Amino acid sequence: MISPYVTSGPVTGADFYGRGELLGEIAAGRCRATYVLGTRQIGKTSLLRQVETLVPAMFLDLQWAGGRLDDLARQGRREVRRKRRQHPWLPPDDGLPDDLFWLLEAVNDAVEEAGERLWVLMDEAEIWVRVARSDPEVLHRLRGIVQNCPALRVVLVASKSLSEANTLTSEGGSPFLSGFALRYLGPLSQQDGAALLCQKQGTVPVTVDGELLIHLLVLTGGHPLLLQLLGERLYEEGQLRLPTEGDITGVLDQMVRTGIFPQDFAALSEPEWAILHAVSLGQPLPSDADPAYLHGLVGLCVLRREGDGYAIGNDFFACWLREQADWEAKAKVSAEGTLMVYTQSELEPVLVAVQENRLALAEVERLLDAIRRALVIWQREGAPLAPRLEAALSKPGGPRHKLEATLPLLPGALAYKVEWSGEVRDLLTALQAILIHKGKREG
Amino acid sequence: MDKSAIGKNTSDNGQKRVGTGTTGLITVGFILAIILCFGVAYWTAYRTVAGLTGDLPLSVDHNVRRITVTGLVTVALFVGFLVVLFICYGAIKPKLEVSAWRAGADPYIVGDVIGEPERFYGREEALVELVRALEAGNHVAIYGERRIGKTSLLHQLAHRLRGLPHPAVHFLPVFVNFQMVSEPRFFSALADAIAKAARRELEQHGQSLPSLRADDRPEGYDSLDLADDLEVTVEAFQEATGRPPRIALLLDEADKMNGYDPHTQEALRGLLMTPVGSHVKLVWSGQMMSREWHLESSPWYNLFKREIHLGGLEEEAAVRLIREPVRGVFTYEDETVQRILELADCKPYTIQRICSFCVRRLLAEGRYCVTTDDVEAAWGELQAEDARRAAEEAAGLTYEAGRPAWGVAEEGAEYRANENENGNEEDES
Repeated sequence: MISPYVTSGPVTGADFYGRGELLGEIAAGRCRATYVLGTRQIGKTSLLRQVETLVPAMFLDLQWAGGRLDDLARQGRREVRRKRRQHPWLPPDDGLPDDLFWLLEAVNDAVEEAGERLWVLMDEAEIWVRVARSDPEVLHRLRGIVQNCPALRVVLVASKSLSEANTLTSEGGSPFLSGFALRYLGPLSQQDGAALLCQKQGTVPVTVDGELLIHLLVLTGGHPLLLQLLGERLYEEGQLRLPTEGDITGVLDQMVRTGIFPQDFAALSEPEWAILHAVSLGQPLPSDADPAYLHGLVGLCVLRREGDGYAIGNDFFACWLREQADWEAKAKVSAEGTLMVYTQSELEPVLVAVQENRLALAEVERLLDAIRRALVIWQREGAPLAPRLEAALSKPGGPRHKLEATLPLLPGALAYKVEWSGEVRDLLTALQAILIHKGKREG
Repeated sequence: MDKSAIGKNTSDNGQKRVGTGTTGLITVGFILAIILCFGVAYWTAYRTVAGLTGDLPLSVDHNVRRITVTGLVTVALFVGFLVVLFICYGAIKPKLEVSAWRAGADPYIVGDVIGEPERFYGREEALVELVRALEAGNHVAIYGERRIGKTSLLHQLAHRLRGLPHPAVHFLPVFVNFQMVSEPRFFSALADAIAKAARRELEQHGQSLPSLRADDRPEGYDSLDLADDLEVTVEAFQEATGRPPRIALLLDEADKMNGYDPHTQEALRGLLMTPVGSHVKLVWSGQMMSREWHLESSPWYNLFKREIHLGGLEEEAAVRLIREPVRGVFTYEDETVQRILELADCKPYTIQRICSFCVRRLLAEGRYCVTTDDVEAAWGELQAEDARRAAEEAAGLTYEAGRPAWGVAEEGAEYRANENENGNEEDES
């Protein structure tokens, strides 16, 4: 029997599992610009291909174009030509300009005139960094497209290497990624991972023993490629057998030989390496570990929350880190660029979410003010902070329900506040510490 | 050792010439034998039935008897004829083969591509894994040292893929030898190879492939052009067979891609990630794929999750490779076989070189059993030859004994990448 697991190239249609929430959000088109951040082979291209099936889209692969703008424009014209069969409101491709950005503007005009929207999906968007090294103006022009073309929805998918685009544009204007809604493409949920292993969307489902299913999900941390690779190895006549030591080392070998783990490692900054090093050795986190890094690493599925602390995202990567990672190397990705991505890029979705929740920024301010006052009182009394916070927030008429609604958004909100004043910044740093402490206790 | 003899010993050619003549003769012989048997049987039946009745003309009943007897006697005579023929052939065959070998044919295939499945030994596990990987839609890399049998394996894979029943796709194996593909014409070369194989396949379904951009061999033909041509090809297959094609690009001597500009590699990966590119699956074959990647994008080699490493043959297959080609003519003592396996480390090319030498020695000396002494003599000679070759290579000469520039294209499926507009081959080497 032919194995139903796909390990080469993007998966589409019935082979695509999960990501429903993110797909729904992108397809809703609330954000004009989205940056989907994920590690290598986590399913970024597959996500874009799936988006392409949901909405009118122009797919631009920067790798295919080799980062050459004229080839990207050719891709754009080709896409318009092909998609015009489905969407006649797209302009004829033969009249489109040769310049990519003018082309996008022309397309925007036509789409806007028709009262439609077009998603511009950019795969391997980290290549913009290469383009910008020779001409940083390119990034400003792309940002201009995002800001000035209301009928377009731009979705970039890239590894964290794209964060360098921020540092390249930090002089003479806003950083490139500011204004992009950051979305992490992390592991599959337990449910989606189980559905993939059991091939629930396939024509012939695969039988997987319940305990084995849980074992495989834990082992892989829900990493879709690891699930597919293991599935491919363990598939025998319509069911999955128990993995052997050889299967495990075989999959690890595949992830290393294809450069996936080394590249994921290389896309991290030095402070992140320090965190990973400590976690992989079971040591306490570095005292100066910025919560933003932890938040980002969890989002990337490089780390996962486990009990009152953190663990490496999956057992295979953990093994590679322990045995093969070069901790002495010099990081190619800067801490500055990384922090800008993890914090600043989250502004846009926070704002969108706040607006959606009908919470004005003033209301958030008021809540934070209340917390600040509570903190001052608690610190004066010298009592443990977390239980007090919990108690205060539970009081009748207190802002707990509103704060709870805002909690998942806090890292972004915090970053936003960083720009406001030093006082708020200090306050929020304290609040972050409390929340982490609280999370550990609850875990 | 007579090198000129090695040059001639592309056994495919020799065998095919002998095979064609023999088939014709056998066919004519069989027809004559059937006519003769029928004549004799009819005459016998006529005489027998006439003898029984003693009068003429015969009644209807007699005619039935006569026909029955004629049929039975014809069958009996023909079976007898076959038995005699078989016995005679068994006696003559070794002599025929020996005379063919004396004339220059070689029972072993030294350095040439093995296209015929019946002359290919071992590698069953690798072939099954390759077919499975392609069926599941994956790209695969085959690694192995020079002359370990990678090209022959690709030809065997192509043979298996043709007509392989698959519920969802129609397999189209396309062989591309990279030895002479130049980087500027890389995508054009792929397009030519695919178009050639697709046209032949579609012809069998009574369809034709519409004209492609690649047909005019335009300057600057790139991966975007190839994507457009692939779309046309996929549509044509869908129409002709009811299924989309799965184009298995069998990239031989693909080490050459290691030296390509990373942007070319990126463009190939980009193409394969497109919906139309997903119809193409690569089987990369070479000594080692370069893992150097200094760009910030996904490395092109991460397409290859599956790898197959070719080493020596399994012992059982290696023994068959030694004995089968000369079965019924020459024999090997068991310890001789073991000695060959030991010296050759079960590597098919070395095994065939040793055995080929031994056969020549036996032919020269009129013996029929290969001994360990023959093997030792062969080994010494081969070592000396290798040393000579190394010296020549060090002196700047190139020498490819027994290995033609091109493998035998199975049913014309191999792409010779450097054909110019006139259809002539350019010599880039």
